[in-house]
Amino acid sequence: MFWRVVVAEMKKNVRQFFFSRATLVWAFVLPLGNGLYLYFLYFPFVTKSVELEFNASTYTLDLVGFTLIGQLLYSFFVMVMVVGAAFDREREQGTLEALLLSPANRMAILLGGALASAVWYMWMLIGVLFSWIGFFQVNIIINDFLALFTSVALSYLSLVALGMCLEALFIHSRRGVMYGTMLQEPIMFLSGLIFPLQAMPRGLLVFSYLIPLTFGLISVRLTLLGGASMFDVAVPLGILAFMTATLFILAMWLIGYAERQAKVKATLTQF
Amino acid sequence: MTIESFAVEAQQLSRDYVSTKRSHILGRKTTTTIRALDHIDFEIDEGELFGLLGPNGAGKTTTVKILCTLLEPTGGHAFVKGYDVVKDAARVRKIVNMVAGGERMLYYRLTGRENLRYFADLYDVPKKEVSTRVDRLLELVGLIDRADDEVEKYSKGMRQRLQICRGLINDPEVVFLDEPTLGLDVNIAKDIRKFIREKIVEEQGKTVLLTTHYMYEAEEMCARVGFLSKGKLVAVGHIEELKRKMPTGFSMEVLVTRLTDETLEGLRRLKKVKRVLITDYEGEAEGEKIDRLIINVDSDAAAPEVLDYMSTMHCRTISVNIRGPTLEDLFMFFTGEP
Amino acid sequence: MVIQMAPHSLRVLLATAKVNLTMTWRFFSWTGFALRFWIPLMTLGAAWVLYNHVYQGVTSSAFRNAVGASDYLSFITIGNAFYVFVFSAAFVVGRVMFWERAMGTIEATFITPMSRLAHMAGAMAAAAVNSTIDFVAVFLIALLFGFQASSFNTALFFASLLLTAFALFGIGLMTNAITLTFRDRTTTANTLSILFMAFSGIVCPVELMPVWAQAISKALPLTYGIRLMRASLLRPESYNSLYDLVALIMLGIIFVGIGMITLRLIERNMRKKALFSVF
Repeated sequence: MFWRVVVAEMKKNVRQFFFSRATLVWAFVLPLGNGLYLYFLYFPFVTKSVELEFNASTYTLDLVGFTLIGQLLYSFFVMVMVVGAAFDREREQGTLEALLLSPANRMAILLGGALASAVWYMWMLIGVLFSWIGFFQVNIIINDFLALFTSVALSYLSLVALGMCLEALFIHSRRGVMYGTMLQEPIMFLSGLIFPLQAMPRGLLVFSYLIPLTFGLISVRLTLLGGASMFDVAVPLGILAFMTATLFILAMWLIGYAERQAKVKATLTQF
Repeated sequence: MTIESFAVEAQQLSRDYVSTKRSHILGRKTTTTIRALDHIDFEIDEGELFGLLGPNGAGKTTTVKILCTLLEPTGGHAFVKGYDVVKDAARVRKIVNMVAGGERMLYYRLTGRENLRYFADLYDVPKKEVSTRVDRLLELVGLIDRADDEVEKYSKGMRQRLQICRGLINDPEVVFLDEPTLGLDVNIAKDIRKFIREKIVEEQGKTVLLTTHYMYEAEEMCARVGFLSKGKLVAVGHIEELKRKMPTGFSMEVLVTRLTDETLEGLRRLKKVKRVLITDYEGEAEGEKIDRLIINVDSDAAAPEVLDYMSTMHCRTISVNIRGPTLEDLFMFFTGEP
Repeated sequence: MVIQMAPHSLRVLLATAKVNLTMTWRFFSWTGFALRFWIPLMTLGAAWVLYNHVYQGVTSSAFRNAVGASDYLSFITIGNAFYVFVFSAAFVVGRVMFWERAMGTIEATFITPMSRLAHMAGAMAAAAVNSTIDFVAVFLIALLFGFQASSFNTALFFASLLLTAFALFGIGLMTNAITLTFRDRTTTANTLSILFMAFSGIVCPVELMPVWAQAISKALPLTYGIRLMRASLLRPESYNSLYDLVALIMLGIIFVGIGMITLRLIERNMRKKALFSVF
């Protein structure tokens, strides 16, 4: 029953998401636009590369690659949120009550939604990779494919888990979008998406280390652009794995809490 | 623009819906055309309450939407107070309004009063009249005490009553009521019907087109009706005139069990029986399925013969009701639909 | 638009603006209000870290030549402040009909004799009021990070705001057509916003971008609006505003013109294809 719900929810969201062919186009344009924005952010300064300090080593990374990886991972997080905002859509359409009336496991519903975003993400990834190779000619250095794959997979899972926690907000209240945005902004700022983490003011670093995307960015950037091995990124990957498991457990509790609160306050039909 | 002689006029009105489908997002398109309205003609006089009846999917809502300019016809013409609904759409919008069943067409985050004031602005109701008109309408439907609560806090019945206020805010000459009592409980639906008949039509002299699939509703409210079936207007006229067109004056509504095809055939061959319709009935008697028969007979004297025959064929009669033809009978007669 | 501003149209505009503002503020929350300051705090904070901690307060000579000043934070503040209007155009005006359709009120509004343009202008007016708060918030937060306006040319400041808003209104009208046609919820608006962010010179002078990017930026009204506002507050010595003013006015006329045409076409299309009730 659990996996049946996951698959059903995933199919529904994919169907709704890819309702229009225009979505296929926007899926390419959106991350490219984001990436360009970040890339142009560096233009006022004298630089064509970024230095990333990690484990007493300094990696000189291609600027385009640095920003586009950041954008790619963040885009995935945004996709999870967008699909998670399906609850907001359900609320608008008046179907949220019908969904929660069913005995379907709520985690299964959330997971199905999050996995649907993976379908969207795969499509987007194709477009972005073509642009990297063909247009920007990013200098990629991969020495350990297993390390790269593990970094990407764990980053993906951690963002799914984080997204599921935030999705609970959409059930709780029509202000879910607002709360979600409040959390999205610091994630973008504190995770090292825009600039290397060593530049972060000391007082804010502690918050950076609470965000799974921080470790995902370090791992993916080092393994894709810096030629790092599994040994080099073992620590961030280990932390990422722990955070992912914790966030999944937290999501399970949050969804139950949000639903109970929404039923007490009768907010399921308000939009 | 035609010379204004009717409040509403449809001439060979047609509407096709074209739907396209792909088997998958990159697949080829296939197109299907559904004819929702098929060359319908009818007229509504000034001050008349006209009923457009039909089952779901017959084309009632499509007709209403064309007449209030929300849809363009794919064939034919329609006129409201002499204005073409396509060419003179802007003028038509000034003199019509629509109330639809269901809970949409209202801003849930606004109060009842705010909703009405907003629509008053959209209709350019004279400013000095807005407050009094809004209050009067709210009082008429019994919402004045809740006027300053957000619509999201209203019950279904309250929202429908507010819809009626919205439908009258511009003092329209023609009002389209598309299943206005849909989903409402019996008492509220009755109040709304009474309101429409007495306040809107009799007192204010407005022209009303009412669509419904509840036959008793049309029978209670309308003098003239039209029957829509699968996009075609199969009959239109005064209810009494239409009843006279039926070949028989009486109907027997009989609930039986143990009905067989042979019995049915035999029943149809009886001299005094003009027509037999078998309709859905939910229920059982002592474990046996109940069938509902509508038997048109030429007089009530035919009843004993019919019942004797049924008894001979070992059918068990649960109940018999002999009556003059109802609107439901008329509908079934003209459309052939049970 | 001037021709259409009959008394009824003005009434529709004001009524729609009032209703939209009511619906936004009725459910006011301090969280929502704080969000208006939170977002610029994050974006400007990131810019501040980049400027001061990554590059130790040093910008390239190309930047200094293009902008006529070295104050990166003031430069980026103005870009971010303008961006809030892009958001209004794309997310609010660009989704008016979509949102009405989702709420089920589109038919109720479309059977009225109101001017659609006035209705959309009312939505824009409401969005502009809300965006003004965001606009001010950006500057207030920027003061924390060392924003300094070396001058204040009032005429140029308001001209840039109003003319850019006018052009963005046209873009909002066009966006309506896209969101309705493709029945898309936020992707169109998101994508448009991102394109504006990337190519309008919000984060770096257009002159420093690659040639192909500069070509795109020339078609965006925000490019000229931002430059005009930067000139009004930062006043580079060699700047001549006439070209940007003319370009902005022309783009505004073009976009609003196209927007009005697409509005008519989309309404006609909705009546033909019975799209009022699909969501």
